[in-house]
Amino acid sequence: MIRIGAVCLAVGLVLADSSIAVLALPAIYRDYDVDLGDLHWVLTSFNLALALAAVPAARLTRRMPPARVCAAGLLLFAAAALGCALATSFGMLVAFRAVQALGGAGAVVAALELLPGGRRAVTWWVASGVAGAAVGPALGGALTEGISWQAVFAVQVPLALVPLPFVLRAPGAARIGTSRPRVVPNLALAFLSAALAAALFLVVLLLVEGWGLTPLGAAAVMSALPLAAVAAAPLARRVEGVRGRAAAGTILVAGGLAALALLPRAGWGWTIPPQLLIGAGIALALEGLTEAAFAGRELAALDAGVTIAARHAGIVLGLVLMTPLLVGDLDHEKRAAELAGTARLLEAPISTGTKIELARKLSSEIEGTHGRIPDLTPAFRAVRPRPEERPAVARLERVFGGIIDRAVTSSFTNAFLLAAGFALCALAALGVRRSVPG
Amino acid sequence: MSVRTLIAAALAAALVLVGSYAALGGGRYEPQPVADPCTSPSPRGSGLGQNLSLGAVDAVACLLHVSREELALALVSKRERDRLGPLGRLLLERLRAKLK
Repeated sequence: MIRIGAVCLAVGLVLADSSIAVLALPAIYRDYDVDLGDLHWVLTSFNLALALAAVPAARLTRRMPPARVCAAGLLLFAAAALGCALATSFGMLVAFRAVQALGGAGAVVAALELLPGGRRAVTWWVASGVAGAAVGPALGGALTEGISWQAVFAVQVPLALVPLPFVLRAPGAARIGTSRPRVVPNLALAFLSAALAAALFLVVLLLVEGWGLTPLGAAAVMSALPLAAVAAAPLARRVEGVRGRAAAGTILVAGGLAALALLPRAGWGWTIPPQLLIGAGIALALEGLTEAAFAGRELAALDAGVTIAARHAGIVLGLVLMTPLLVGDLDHEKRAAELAGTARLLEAPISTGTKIELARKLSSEIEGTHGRIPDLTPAFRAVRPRPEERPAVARLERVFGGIIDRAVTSSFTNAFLLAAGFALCALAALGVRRSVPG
Repeated sequence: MSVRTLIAAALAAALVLVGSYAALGGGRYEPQPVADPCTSPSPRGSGLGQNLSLGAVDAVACLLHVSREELALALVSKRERDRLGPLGRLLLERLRAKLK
């Protein structure tokens, strides 16, 4: 049982890594002063390398004992995690993330061969991956705020080494797959993963960069998603028919993402109902589709490799398509917000001198953020209005806050709609008859 | 629970949430449009000096075919100032002197 736990820890740790850095992104963004359009590479490099390496790593388990492949993968993963924690540049961090994924690919696909008991092995393997991906963002947020973003990677070093002795003692030999991988469930899985990756990335940026929540606060808000997934899991197991379950889950994910695109106001509370829908959708769809990808097949590492490749290729697709859309919309809304704010300033019942002083401070605050979402409070604190002008200046500060909140929230609309579109593509793939059992 | 019931329940939950958010105003955010300074002058304030300043901003913005908001931003931001041509920058300097 300890051995099963150790192997599951390895799987959970690697698959948590595709999401654990999400809440560290705003801190990395500030530390390295990178463009928002490049920030996604912290996630993309990991997922791209994992997608590309999963199948070759699975083939390696046919030539070498899976225990050795898994152990070597964990060692590489741990060494690269240390490299991420000590990285002195953004490029170095991105490169170490890719190396981490190469090790992770070997560990995850070989792990399936180390778990005993046919269908039960798949259940353990899938559940570990889902648990890791669900816990990742909250854990990453807590570590980023409690210590630093580097701690997110440093903590992975001992965690990756813990399973090593148990993994090395595990029996297991590669089971050779005899048929081609199932295309449609894996395609649906890729689209669903694209939707979920975009959702996680966007919700974090909206909460932390857009609305100014702390990483820990954002982690608490985002815990609604895994909690909903855990609550819905028993229901998912009671429903027979993998395709129907996956379809229902995908509808929930698409609905949740569409609701995030239509947030009525700026405020974390509005993100909770959509997250509950998405979490329940994950419980129904992700497990169902992974089971469908394995249904009726030999439990070969190659199947695990194909499924991992599909999932992470989907994550890369989501991040790569969604990021330029978000950056373009943020630029557009920023300009509109600047003009709207200037109009309110011109109309404000304050003297021309105070207007010019305030405009100078606001302009310098906005230009000092280098394209980030500005905090205008220091600019308002720095002006010295006449006593009779103070209420009007305070009112103006509230108006400006509202303009920024609405502009930021609106900038995310198209990106969330794109993510909902990915979920609908997964649903369309499920509609292909006889492609998914049940 | 049958698969059909589950799919119907999922569809209903998704539609109710999306419909409620849309009904509460989600997705309908439009930033305040900028007015044409030639045809729609700034609303006047209480003081004479204030009104003269706003009138001057409107007049220069109309002459340069930019909105009064863009002109006001150019008064305080080099980035915005660079968007105006040489004539724009000259008029802006005159306006700045007048506002002082």
